[in-house]
Amino acid sequence: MFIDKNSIVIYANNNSINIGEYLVEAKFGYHKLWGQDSGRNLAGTQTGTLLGIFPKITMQFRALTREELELLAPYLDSAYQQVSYYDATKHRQVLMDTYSNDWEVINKNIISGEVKNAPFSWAVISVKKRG
Amino acid sequence: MKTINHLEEYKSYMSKLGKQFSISAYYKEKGKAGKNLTAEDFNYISLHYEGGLLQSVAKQLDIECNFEIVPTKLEDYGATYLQLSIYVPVQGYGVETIDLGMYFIKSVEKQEDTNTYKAVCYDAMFVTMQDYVDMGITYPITVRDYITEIARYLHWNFKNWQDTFANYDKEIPRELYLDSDGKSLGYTFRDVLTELAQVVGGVICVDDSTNALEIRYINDTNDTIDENLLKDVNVNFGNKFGPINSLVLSRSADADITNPVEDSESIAENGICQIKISDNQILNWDDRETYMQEIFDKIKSIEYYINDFTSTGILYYELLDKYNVTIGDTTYNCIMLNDEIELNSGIQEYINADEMGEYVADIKKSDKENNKINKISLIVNKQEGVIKGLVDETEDLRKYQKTVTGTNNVILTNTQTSNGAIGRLEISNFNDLSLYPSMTYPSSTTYPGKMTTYIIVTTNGSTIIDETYIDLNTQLSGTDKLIIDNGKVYISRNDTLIDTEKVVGINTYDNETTLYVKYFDNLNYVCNYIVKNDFTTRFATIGELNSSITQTADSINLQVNKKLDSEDFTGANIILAINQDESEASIMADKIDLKGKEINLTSDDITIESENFKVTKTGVVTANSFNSNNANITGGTLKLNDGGASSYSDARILLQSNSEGNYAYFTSGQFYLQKNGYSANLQTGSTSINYYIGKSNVNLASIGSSGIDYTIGTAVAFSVRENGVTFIRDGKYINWGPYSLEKFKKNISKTKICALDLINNTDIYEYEYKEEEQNGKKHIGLIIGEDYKTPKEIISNTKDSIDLYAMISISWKAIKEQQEIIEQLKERIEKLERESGK
Repeated sequence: MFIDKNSIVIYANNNSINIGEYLVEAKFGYHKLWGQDSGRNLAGTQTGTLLGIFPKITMQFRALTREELELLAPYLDSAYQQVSYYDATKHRQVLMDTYSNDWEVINKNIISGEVKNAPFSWAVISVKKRG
Repeated sequence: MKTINHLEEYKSYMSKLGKQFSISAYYKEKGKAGKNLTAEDFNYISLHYEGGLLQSVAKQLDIECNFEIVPTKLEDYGATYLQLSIYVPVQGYGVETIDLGMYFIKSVEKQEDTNTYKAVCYDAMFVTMQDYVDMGITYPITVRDYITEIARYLHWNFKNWQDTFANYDKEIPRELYLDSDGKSLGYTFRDVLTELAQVVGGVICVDDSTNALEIRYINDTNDTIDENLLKDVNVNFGNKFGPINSLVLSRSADADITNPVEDSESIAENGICQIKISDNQILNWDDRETYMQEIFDKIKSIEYYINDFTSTGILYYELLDKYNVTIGDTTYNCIMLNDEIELNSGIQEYINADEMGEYVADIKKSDKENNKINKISLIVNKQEGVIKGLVDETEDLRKYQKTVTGTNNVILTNTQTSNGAIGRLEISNFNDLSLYPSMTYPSSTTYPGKMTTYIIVTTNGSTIIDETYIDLNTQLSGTDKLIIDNGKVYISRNDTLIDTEKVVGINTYDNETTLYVKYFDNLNYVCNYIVKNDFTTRFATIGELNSSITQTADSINLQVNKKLDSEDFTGANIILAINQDESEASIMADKIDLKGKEINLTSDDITIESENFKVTKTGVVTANSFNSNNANITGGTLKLNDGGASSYSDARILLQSNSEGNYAYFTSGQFYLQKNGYSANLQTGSTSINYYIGKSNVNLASIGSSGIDYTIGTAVAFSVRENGVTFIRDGKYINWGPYSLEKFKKNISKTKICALDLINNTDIYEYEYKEEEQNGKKHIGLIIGEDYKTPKEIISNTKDSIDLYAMISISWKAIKEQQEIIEQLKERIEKLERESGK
């Protein structure tokens, strides 16, 4: 559950950024990953190994200026990050190792200090299962 | 079975969605500190083994890990290893730990693209993958002590070192896996353990909890799993294998199969399921049959369903665990033989069990049909001395069985004298109990209407040959059947087979045998028997044959021992032994018959030698005696060294006819002939040579070389010397001449030959002899031939020479005739002188 978007800090490339100010929305997802042995047993019952719950934070960015985009781009490009966020189940700030998906941004105009790009989303997914 | 504290809860947890597990591992490398590892350090783990009875079994662990791992060197065994456990958190009941054991790294590959390591590891069986060597064992040694010594040598604990497992106390008499020089025969310790597993009737493997060498037998867990633990794909249950009810041993190439140890009741009920152990060095000797019962006791009655399924993760069964699988209303009893546990993203466990013998290299389950004639060993046609391949003939043996039926009796055709030809005899329809109610049997006791002893009569033609008494202590009636199966007597009653525990032998005879039960009519007979053939030990000879072929890397020993104990044979033992090693080949037999037109010994250095006969490589023949009907020796020199023999008994060349006393012999200085009492003896001495002619040991003539003396008995003798010929008679020297005594002559009359006319009509010639060298000197004398005037009166009886005595005598007569003429002329002269007055 998102409580304070300012609680999201991205660490990458030996830098960090409090990314909350650039966001309009952050969605915290807790995804279960099942093993290859998942399926039904001979009794018809679904069975399988739960590999773990892997948190995912999907961030919706507001329209960004060129300067803001230039500031965020290295983080968005990074393959691996560490992300600090507030985890409601743990009642504390949690640091997790993540990887990120692709990012795309629509520019209908040449962006500048005033002209901004369209909003876009980006997600980070925990490398390890939630402890 | 591994210990699971809350088994049913565990099973339930493992069958559900959302189970979780973790890995705990410990890696130790020699000289370095150990590392505790978790699932984070592994990408992939697979543990599997392929097992079976009567084998040694090793577990293989394949891993892909993120940490550097190195192979274990044999000398570092115990110092570099990986230990592995699985933790399963059973909710509400704690964590179950499944210890997968300790493994040694056989090989490692680094994956450069992913910076991971793939390794192949084995359990402690890893250390057996080296050549078997001399461990300094003192023989004989018991099986148990032998295994202990192997474990000790491999720095291994032996879990069963105090146990009384099968054949634990049998003695191994000698080193079997090294040659006589102590060199390797190509066996590894693993090979030896596999053979020991056969000897103990179980499996030799590693105990995960203690990492010790273990002899393991079937362990009945009484555990049942159901379809909740089985995946819904790849679930296969086939036929039931077993129950094992027969065991045989064979030597290499399926030869020389022992008589089986078997459970006849199980065979009768289930058909035969036979295990054959072949080519085991320990079970290859004359005492091999002493091992069989204890091995059989361990494997008999083993049965299980052939299976192949994937489970959701059981993990706690161990090799040879016996368990049940229930699917719906069907329960399959199974034995854990093959297992593969895959830990990847999730747990997959693949379990399967095949027929025994399909994958166990040295154990074969014999075809049931062929083993109904279960007295087959190596197929030897002893009558013709031909050995034929067992496998082919075993398949064909079915054609030598025949089943016949009959009512009142049964006639077996093409039989041969034997007491083991009848495989199965079934007699039924014992309905008429009132037969012969007053029959007296077996003595004066009368059994009115009752008979509990059944007499099987066999006849050859019309002649009753044998009667076999079977006392059943019960009366057969109704649907009862009397069954004789391979000599064992059963009663079939109300579809129940009752073993009477009696054994009989029913004889068959040459060509045709009729069989019936005495005193009973209308019985029905079904008889399965073996017809006359060359291939069963019952028929090939009336005797027994032992043969063995022993082959090592550098020698072959073939032995055939034939012992004949029938009165039709002389009872001689025929033994043929052929032994060949790298330096020598020898053939031993009472008689060796080499047939062919030519025996070619082409080696330059061939020597043929026996105690009394020798031919050296240079062709020198030495023999105590030489007998031949007609010996021709052409070319070269025949030399005999007699060592100075001087008599018949010492002679080195003796020619002797069948008539006693007729012979000739040569010694170094003598040639002697004797026949019908006449003898000729030519002797040479250092200064003389003598030739003796005799009769009845009396010399008639002798010729000597000191000068030459001719002695003819003592009546007349003549000697030839340089100065002439001398004749001696009665010790007196005489002039040579014919015998003139009146007593030697007949038809005596004065000759009327006119000698002068004869002489005047005779021509004298000069001549040379044709064979004489021409030296200008001619002979003067007479010529006998056509146109030569030589009077017949002086030609000898042989008509080829002049009778000198006759010639002298005629000359003498001519002188007389001339003297008479001279006297006449003198008288006339005197008369004329008187008349003339002078």
